[in-house]
Amino acid sequence: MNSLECNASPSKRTGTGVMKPRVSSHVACRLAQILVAAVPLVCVSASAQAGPSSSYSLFSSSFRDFAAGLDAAAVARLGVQASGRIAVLDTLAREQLKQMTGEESPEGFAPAVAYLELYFNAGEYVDRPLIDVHEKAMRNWVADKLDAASAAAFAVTHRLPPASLLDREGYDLLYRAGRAQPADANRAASVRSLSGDLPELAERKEFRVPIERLSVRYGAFLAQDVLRIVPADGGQWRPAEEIFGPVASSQPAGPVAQGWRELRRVWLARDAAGVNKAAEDIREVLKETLQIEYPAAEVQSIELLYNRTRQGTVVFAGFAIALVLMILAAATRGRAFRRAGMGVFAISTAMLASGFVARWLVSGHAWYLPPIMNQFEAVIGSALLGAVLAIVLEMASPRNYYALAASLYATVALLMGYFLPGAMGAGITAQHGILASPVMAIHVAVIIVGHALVGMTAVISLAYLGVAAVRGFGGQGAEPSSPATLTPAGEMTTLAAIDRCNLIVAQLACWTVVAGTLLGAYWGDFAWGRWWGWDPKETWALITAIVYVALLHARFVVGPRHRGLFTALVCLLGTAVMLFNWIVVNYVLAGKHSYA
Amino acid sequence: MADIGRALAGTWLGVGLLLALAAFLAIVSTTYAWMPGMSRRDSTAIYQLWPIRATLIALSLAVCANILAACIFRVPRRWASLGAWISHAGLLVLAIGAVWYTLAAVTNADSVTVRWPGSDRWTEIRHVYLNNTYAVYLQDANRAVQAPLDLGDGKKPRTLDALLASGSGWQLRATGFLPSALILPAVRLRVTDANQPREIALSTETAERQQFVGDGYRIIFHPGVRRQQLAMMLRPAAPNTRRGLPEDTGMLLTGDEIPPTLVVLHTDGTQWHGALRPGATLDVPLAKRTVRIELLEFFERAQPVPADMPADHAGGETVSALEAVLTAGGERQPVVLQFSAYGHLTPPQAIRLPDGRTINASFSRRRLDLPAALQVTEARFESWPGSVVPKDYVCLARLDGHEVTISLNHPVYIGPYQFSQGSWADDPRNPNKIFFGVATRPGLPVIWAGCILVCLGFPVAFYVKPLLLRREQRGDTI
Repeated sequence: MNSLECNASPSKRTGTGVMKPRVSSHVACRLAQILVAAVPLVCVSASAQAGPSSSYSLFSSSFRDFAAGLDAAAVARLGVQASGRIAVLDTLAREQLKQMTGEESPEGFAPAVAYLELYFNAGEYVDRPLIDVHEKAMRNWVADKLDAASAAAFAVTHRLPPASLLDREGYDLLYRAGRAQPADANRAASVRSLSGDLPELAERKEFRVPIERLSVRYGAFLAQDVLRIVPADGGQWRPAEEIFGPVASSQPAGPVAQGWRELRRVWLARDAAGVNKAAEDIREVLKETLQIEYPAAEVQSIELLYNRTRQGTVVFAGFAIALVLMILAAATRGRAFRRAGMGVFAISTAMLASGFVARWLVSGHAWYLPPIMNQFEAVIGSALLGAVLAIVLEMASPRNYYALAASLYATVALLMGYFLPGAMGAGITAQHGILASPVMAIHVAVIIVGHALVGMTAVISLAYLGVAAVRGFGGQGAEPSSPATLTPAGEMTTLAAIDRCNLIVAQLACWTVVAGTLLGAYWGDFAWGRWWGWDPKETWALITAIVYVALLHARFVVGPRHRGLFTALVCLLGTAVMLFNWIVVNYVLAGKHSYA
Repeated sequence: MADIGRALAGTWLGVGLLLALAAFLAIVSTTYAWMPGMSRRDSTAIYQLWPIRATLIALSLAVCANILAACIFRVPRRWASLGAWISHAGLLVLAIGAVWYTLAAVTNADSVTVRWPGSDRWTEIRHVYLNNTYAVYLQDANRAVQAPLDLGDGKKPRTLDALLASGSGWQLRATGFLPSALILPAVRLRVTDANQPREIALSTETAERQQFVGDGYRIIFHPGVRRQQLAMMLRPAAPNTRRGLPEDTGMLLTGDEIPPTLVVLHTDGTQWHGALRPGATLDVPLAKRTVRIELLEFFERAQPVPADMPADHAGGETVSALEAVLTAGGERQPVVLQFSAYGHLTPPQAIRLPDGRTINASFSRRRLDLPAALQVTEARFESWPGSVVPKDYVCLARLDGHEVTISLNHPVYIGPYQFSQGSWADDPRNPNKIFFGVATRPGLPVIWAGCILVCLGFPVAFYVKPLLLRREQRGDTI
């Protein structure tokens, strides 16, 4: 756990337990996390978790004292099974806590510690503000339904106590898993139940999606068949509720299950030293039990680091800085800005590449299957490949605009990954066998390079339009030998230089989109038995390619005075088509490539 | 001619055609769900509609004509234009391959193998089934015939006048298509009680329609009773041992193995039963009177229910069906043929002709014979640990005496047919039915040649051309 995760929570409370305005502290906390995550080696002990609990806080002060003595790293490294692979508990905990509370580290606790507390002690939290209500309409409805005291807490936390959603079946689930006692239901009696109102509310169109999301968050709290902790036959792992339930606990179990029971026992007894020892014991037993399958300690460390950097997306900060410097370099033609910008850009690219390799290692995919197969991976991979290509182009022809374009593209891509990890599928999951083909990997790699280049043409086009708006349109042909495009000093005019960059990137984009699409056709032949099927994704890739082919042909016949402007406008059109293909087709239109 | 050619080779014309093609594709691929007869799932099926297909072909041909004309009249014949030549030639080769493929390929087809309950052996694969193409298969003692049926792309019946003549004195003419039908065994009876005849129809559609309540008796239509069940139901005593039965419950039994049989049971242990053939009558002796029951008709009745596509199970108990008229010996007999997607897996329907002969009929997707049989010997589903995400679907099979493996991304070839393991089965972990995607791939080498040329031509046009131009300007020869 890093220091700011530990310190962020106590710092935002006063001694009276009343929170300061949540938004500012939340943003400050998030920014602090980003900065620390960007320099991941700066990591100190978890000692600063202690702090006064308020009536609005989730965790009790006794838990804070207990957590302060825990070896968070040992807990985080516990092996569990998630999405078809053996992951560290930290990974699963972050995903589940994000679902449940909207934060990966609620109140600054290490995710694995917070998650195990909520799992083992679920009964204690049925009346605490836990389940995130994100949608405004839903928040308003909930605020109207709650009693005054709960509504006041909800107004601050925007989280519902689970008791307001728990029904008989929900409590039974918790009892059977040994996560709550019948007395817990009595303790939560004061909480107004909303579960009876929700079916009627779901009839209203505007509440359908919010209620679906709320049920997913509530499901994360129930955690049925989520925490798989004990390896069993056939590659399946047994879920925790089969190990800890009142009936299961009385039955004999193997060493892993016994280890987890001991961990739970000492956890509930608030014996921090016992927990640390039990966690180490489980790791040892798992290592002996699984031998080859269990990820090496180095891979576990990489996974923890990767999680802490939000799947490498925090590098957006580096690309944003590089973007500012490259804009200054392009505007002032200052060499210092260029050197600094390219330096930051290269470092950011290297960090992004590290994250990419980390994901590859952690996923356990074959060496020929890079992590570029789902929306998140494709977007991040596209940012990386675009940045690498921009460095190559800048080395071949120093123009600033390649790096500028790639910086903005990477910043936007990484910000999307940072803020929308769930929607984009940031979790590392098992890969469908149909995708496990080197041809498929090459096809996707080429296509996402094409997407990066298309995105870069949009940035360069905007730069062209911006400069042209200031200096006036016209006379911006890209032929370097044309006198019209040269300054009195014999250099290319700014607009001509930008247009030249745009042309080079557009040519590359055209080539890669066409080649990537045809590679997809080759793969489709032996995977699906048809090389072309008018799937929406294929169709829109073809449309993107057609737009760029048309552009490159039209440049032959558009007059030199309007060539740059024409190119910029068509490149923006091509980018719009590409974005449509990447977003609308993936999430809205039905097809074999749909993620919806 | 040259003027026309030059006009056709215009760059603006080419750009315009390309943008028109792009706009057309964009519109079709986003608005298909709102087009008549289309749903959100039909993102690829939309291109089968003839107006869409015709527009697409017209635009593509126009683009190809423009490229060809440009090659002849516009692209200079010099080394610096090598890239343009290669990429344009590649596009034309690709277009030729695509046309060949479109005209000759068998696509959208599949095949299936089944492991019946209690058996550890998979059925041999001898056929490929085409989607959206249907046929009626008929067989009598002398010969087997088939007739393709045009159901209008599987959506609505369009042409149903297929006339099948076996040369054996019978003919079958399809008269209607029921996209989704409730196929019910039914009887039509004439019940005469106290000299008052009354026609009733019973079927299993609802509990009300399954029984007729008379004055002091009930007739319940209870089909599907097997011979063994009937034997258990009947007492060992000789039938009709007691005359003048108390008024009681009548049960009319029908099934594949037994003729319609009327059984009357009473709580005091008495019973009465008798076979009831079409046209025959039975006098059931009740306590104070006799009720005469005459079987007018026993038939499978198809009740239409709206649905989209031919399907084995269009929803619940319903299946798609074909209405037809069988003509034999001057008599006409209506028949209903149930649809079966994989005809060879379902026993054909036996239709009895008026003269006593029987013909077998089935209505299914059109099938093609494979040049060799494929025998699956083992099917294995591999998933990632702790997940249902498939890692691989593996089928071990024998083909022409050789062991072959069909798995994801690894198809096998049987003659011209490519068998792909694109999907799996009803229950992946314990499969009893495995589907293979099947296609032929005519013209594919031509397509790949075109693709390679296109991919080579672009970098030559973009990056080699400046070098070639520089050499040309220096006056070098290449």
